Amino acid sequence: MSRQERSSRRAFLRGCGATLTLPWLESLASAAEPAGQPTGPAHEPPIRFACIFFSNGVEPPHWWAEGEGAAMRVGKGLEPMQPYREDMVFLRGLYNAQAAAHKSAHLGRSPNLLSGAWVSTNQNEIRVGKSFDQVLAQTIGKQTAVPSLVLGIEPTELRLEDGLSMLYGSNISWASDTKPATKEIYPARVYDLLVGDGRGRQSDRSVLDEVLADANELKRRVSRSDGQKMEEYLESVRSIETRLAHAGQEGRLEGWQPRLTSPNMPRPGDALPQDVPAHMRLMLDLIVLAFQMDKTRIATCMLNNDLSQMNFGFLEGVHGSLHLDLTHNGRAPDLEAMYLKTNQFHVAQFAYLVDRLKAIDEGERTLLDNSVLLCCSNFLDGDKHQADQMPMLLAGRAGGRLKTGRVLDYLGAGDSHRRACSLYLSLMDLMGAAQERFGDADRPLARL
Amino acid sequence: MISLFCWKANPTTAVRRLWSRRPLRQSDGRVLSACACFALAVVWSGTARAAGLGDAAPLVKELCTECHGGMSPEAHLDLERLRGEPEFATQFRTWEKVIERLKDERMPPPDAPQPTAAQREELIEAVSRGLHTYIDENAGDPGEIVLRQLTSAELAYSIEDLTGVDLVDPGDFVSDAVGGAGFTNAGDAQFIHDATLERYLESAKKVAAHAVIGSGPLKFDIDPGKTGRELSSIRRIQEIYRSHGFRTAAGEGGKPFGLDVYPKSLLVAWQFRHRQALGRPDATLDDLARENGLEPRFAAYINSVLTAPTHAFPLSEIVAGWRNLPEPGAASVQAVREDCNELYGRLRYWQHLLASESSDEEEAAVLTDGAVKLTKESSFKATLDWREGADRATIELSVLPVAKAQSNPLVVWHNPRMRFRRDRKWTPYEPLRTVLSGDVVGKLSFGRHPAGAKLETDDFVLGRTEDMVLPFSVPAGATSGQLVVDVMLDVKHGEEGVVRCTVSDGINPGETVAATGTYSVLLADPEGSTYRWLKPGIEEFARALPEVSHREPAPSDRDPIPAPFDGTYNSAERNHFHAKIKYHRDDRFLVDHLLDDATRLRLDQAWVDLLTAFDYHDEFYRVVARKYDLPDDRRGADLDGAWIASLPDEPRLYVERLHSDYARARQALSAAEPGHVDQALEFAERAWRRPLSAAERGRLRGFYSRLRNDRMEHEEALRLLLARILVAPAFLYRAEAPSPSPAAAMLSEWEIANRLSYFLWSSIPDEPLRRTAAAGQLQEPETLASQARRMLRDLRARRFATEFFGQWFGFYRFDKHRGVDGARFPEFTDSLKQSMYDEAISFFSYVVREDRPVDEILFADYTFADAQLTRHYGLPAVESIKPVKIEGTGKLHRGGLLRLGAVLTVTSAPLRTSPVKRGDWVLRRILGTPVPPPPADAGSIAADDVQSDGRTLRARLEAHRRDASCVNCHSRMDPLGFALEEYDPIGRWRERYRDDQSIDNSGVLNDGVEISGVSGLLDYLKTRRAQFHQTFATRLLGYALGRAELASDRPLLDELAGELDRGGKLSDLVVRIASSRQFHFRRGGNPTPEGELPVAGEEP
Repeated sequence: MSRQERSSRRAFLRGCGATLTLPWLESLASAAEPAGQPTGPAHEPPIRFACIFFSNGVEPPHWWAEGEGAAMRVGKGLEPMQPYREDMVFLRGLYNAQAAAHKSAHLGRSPNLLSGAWVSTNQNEIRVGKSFDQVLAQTIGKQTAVPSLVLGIEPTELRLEDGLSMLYGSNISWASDTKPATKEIYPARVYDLLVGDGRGRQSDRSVLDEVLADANELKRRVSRSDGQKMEEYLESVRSIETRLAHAGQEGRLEGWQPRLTSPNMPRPGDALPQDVPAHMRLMLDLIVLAFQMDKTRIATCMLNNDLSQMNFGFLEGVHGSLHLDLTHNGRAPDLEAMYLKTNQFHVAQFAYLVDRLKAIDEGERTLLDNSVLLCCSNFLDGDKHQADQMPMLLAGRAGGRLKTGRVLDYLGAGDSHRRACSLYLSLMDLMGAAQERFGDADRPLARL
Repeated sequence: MISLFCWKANPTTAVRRLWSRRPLRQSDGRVLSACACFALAVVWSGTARAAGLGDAAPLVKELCTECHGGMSPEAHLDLERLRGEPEFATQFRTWEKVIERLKDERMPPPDAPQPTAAQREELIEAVSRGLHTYIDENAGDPGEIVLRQLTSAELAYSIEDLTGVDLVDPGDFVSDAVGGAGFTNAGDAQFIHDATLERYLESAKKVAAHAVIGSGPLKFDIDPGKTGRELSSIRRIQEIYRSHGFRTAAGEGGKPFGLDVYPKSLLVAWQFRHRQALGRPDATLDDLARENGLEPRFAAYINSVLTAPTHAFPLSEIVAGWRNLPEPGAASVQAVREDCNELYGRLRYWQHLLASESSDEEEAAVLTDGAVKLTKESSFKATLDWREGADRATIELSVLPVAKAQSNPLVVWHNPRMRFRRDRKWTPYEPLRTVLSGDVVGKLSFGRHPAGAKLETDDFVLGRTEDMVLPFSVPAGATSGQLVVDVMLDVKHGEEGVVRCTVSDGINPGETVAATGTYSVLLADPEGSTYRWLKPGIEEFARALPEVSHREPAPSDRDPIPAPFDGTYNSAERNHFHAKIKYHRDDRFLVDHLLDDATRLRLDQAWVDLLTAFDYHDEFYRVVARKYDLPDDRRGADLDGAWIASLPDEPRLYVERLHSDYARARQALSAAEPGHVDQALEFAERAWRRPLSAAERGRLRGFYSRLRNDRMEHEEALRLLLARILVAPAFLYRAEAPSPSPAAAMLSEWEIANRLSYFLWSSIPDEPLRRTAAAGQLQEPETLASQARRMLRDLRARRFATEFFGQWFGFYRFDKHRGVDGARFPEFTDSLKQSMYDEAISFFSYVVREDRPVDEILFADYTFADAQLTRHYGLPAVESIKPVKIEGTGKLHRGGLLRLGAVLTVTSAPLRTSPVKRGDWVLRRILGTPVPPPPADAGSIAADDVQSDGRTLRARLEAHRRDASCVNCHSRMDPLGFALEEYDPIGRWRERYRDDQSIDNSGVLNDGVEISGVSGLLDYLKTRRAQFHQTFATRLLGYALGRAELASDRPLLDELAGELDRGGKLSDLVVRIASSRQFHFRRGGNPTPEGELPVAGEEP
């Protein structure tokens, strides 16, 4: 019944000769879903999750929020979120115990942000913990053509820091305890991943079938531990093949149909953008595009790496690099003022994403309402590498399940009640992928 | 020289192998010492042997595990666990720290129960013993080496070496990460995901797109697809033309080449003629040609021309000259060789004379196939030069009958006029009469005809004239002149015949315009008997001895175009030809007389590839169709024979030829297909770096056949096959067969070859290394050593300088460095960055390839700089845009690692220098004794060097380190960094800070040593050589093996460092590592799940 109605709506749209960016037709929507009939999950737009990360913390005196709803007041660091106070939840006092206890001030405290895991100090092994965005990707990610987007602006730095690989400083999304998810920094590649439809890739599939056989064969001929490494290759081949197969299918796996069926932005150029703000904006636009087309429902974007050398000369009145000059500013007042500007710049990126999603109508609600977004850094006071609290805020109503316009303070609640992993359990629950335990938490965040 | 093969190896494999291949010679000390080693060695027994703590275990429990144990051990140090299984191999540093803490009594902490002095002694003793026993028993353990992927750089280098073209930018991949000993080549930090694999697939397809798949063997071109095919064909054709053909200097910018074939062939024919007299009755023409470096086919051809019974004039003159060469008894071969050169001069005279009449004004004057067009009239536009500043110059004129028998022709020189070049502009023309001075004017009798006929006042008439010299005054400031004149053979009043007229400035009398500035024309009356007599001879000469062997494949717009095109300049057909048809093959002489069979084949293949790289045949047909009004909707590529036969004669000629050319091309292309598949398998063998198994060959062929069966074209299927080879795990991973047993196993020859080539070249083994591996000789110490040394001298060792030294010292990918504030340092441009990067890489390439003493890395008195960098550094300027070696730079603050711009820049903050960073860098990278990471709340100092409080960086840093918890490390780091304070954040030497404060470059290390300035730092490092050598050894071994240091590496590392202490060179270290047990073995105890025997590289 409902299936027929949906296809008749598509037929109608085709009849109009319009396929994209068509304004939502209220009357048609209500006609398609007669009053009184309960709308099951298949009819609801899905909930999307995005995490926007920035490194090196904030200026604590300016990072605060008070009050509720329209009466909420925010500190200077949060100024760009002022217009979206009612869409936001400010979280104070959450932390990862394993990070705070780690001796490596940076690398022990950043790759574990989304997992709460311990960062291995064994030089012969890379090990942190699977991050919750990748748990989501591996549970509900298969519902979309792309399980998750893992984006960044800066490439992995090629050196050791305090004897640890800078791989740690360059990844917050971990596909397994020992393997980071591939972070994409080229906008054009993200675009192709989202838009490339898998047609015309028949010959790629024939190549992939062949090398899959190669890898299986090779796996039998190498040692057990090498075989495990080989398994990564096999997984990669299989997941490309799955994606190509998905992309070729008509319609969605679930009942809901995204409004946007072809991209409403041009393909970005092949080169890596040289202008940082433009690069970030493109990445955020691509997240919006992915959500709007329902190509993925999970996205993580690192605005910078830990220990970032990103030069903030592009902000007026600011000079120097993020980590060395601006974060570790020697408490010089003029430099602290510049550092605050970088905090505001990062929050402004998040606000941009909020703003764009809020402008997209998905019927009863906006795309923002159908999302839950996390903006966070791994330190509160960046200069002190302070990991016993982290700046975190949420935006979006998770399809109505999350009440926004609130400030939640956990700082005095006792260490076991302020675990970031509890937040992650809550978020996974909101996304429809509830878990019993995650990281060091076995219960969701209270009061959320 | 380090002795080779001192492993503590399993004699049952290694020794037998060594012995079976090389009989013991008493004189060979190295082999003897190797045996001694084996005899003394503790026999290796497999995986790392566990060593326990023994008696100390209960003490550890008693004293340590209350804190360092349980659910969350203090400092994440779980001695509870380590007590049972000490994991000395990887945890040796932890245990060393335990010993240190026990020794200095910082552990157990004061508030915990304390051991007695005896207990403490016992514990220290037991832990040390355990550690040393472990090391002794496990020395040479190959260690766990995680399966390695090619790094981005290795991938790019491998593809470059495979294809011969630099096709892949390592920047296309962002999947590199550093692990192990601090290098990207360690498997532990390498991961593959679907996104990375997509990138590999993309780049594999990109490389495959560069394959030239034509009628010849598979090769790669810098341009992809059709463009690559077209340009590569052109390059192949040009290469054959240049190396086998010849041409005189014709046309603008034309350079003569290959002309020595004529005099050589004259000499060879003479030698053959007189072979009896020369004492070589059995010599063949071929033999003599080869001895003289001449293509036998050409020698035979010229010989046939020279020995033909009859010739017409002027060829007869040349042949007569050759026949009159002295007999061997009358002159030496050398003298005859000179005679041949002279005769060739005569040949050139005729070629040039006739060539000038063989083409129209717009075209290059070349004599090819006898297209000589003589007329009664012609004209000169002759440029006249003179020495700079001269006030007098000359014009030389001559009128000479071609055949000596002619008596006296008359030539009218009509409207001779001159103009001058002054201030880059031409002056107006003036009659020649007014340019020449009075006495000279008389020589020419202006306006008077010798036969009394009417003549204009500015004209004159010349009869037979040799070298008439006409001086004139150069107008002030004129730099050159031009004489324009029409010449006419006056057959009404004078004798008919063939006449050569020349105009020259007399500066360089010579043969050709391009070479000398002599202009000449031939005049003749086409109706006259002399011309009729001469014409066939000219044509014969032009055919037999042309001055160019071929035309260029793509005619320039001055060259003639072939029939049936309209050759009129700017005509529609001519333009269509240049734009669409583009190429015209006109190399008959070259093919017939100069090329051997193999080269002919290659040339034909290149032409087939060229003309099938675009719709040549269609475009050609289009012109013919338009010209002869044939149906326009057909394609040149598919015309049927019956229809062609029905065409009228003239178009049929062209269409038929087009059709058969096309059919031949198709035939050649499809004939090449099976060869391509074979060549793709050879490609796979090189890409996979080992022989393919029969099964693998079968699978690759099967893949190709399946694609063909699915109706895919050969070209596309072959490209997919190549892409499939390059995205296969066998290419992307450096897989090694596991040990079949718990014991470590020796690697195969191919695996060692791979380890060696990726160690030294970051790329695939080359042909000599492959041959050595295939012959099973790499396990022979001398062969291995000589291969390693050869590879270090090779150009590709530059990659070792880039990858190993770049990553070790932190200037890797400095060309992408972004840590400098562009607003503060606008002079830090991309091109300066590149110059600094080039300096660093050139320096290390030099050290590696020239095998300089290792200590030069620190103390060199030279550096490598280009023009831009010498300006930046204030060194004496060089002009080169490539870095050149500059000696004696020490006094100018340059030379060696510490004074490299790239190093000084990466160790600075964006706005200022960072003595902390630089000091930390010296400790960590050079001395190998890094300080521990700062506490999380260490605080910081300001980003800029000039602050409003007027305090210097040093003052601020000193305030910062006043805290007792900081001073310990900072007193180790800061003095090392301050010694370099006279180098600014972008590596320039400076005397003062920006705010004019003076620079204090001195400091006292925590052990009391005073250091000031870079020279003080270098002096200090001279006392710390041993530490540098230890770091060097550790890094080099880590890089070679792709893993971090193990306790069991200690004996080898000590040996390596000791070798450096004794003045050993890098090559000695590399050879020692390449022959170490770690390098030749793979750890056991981790067999395949199925327990199958490895086959990689073992099949013939």
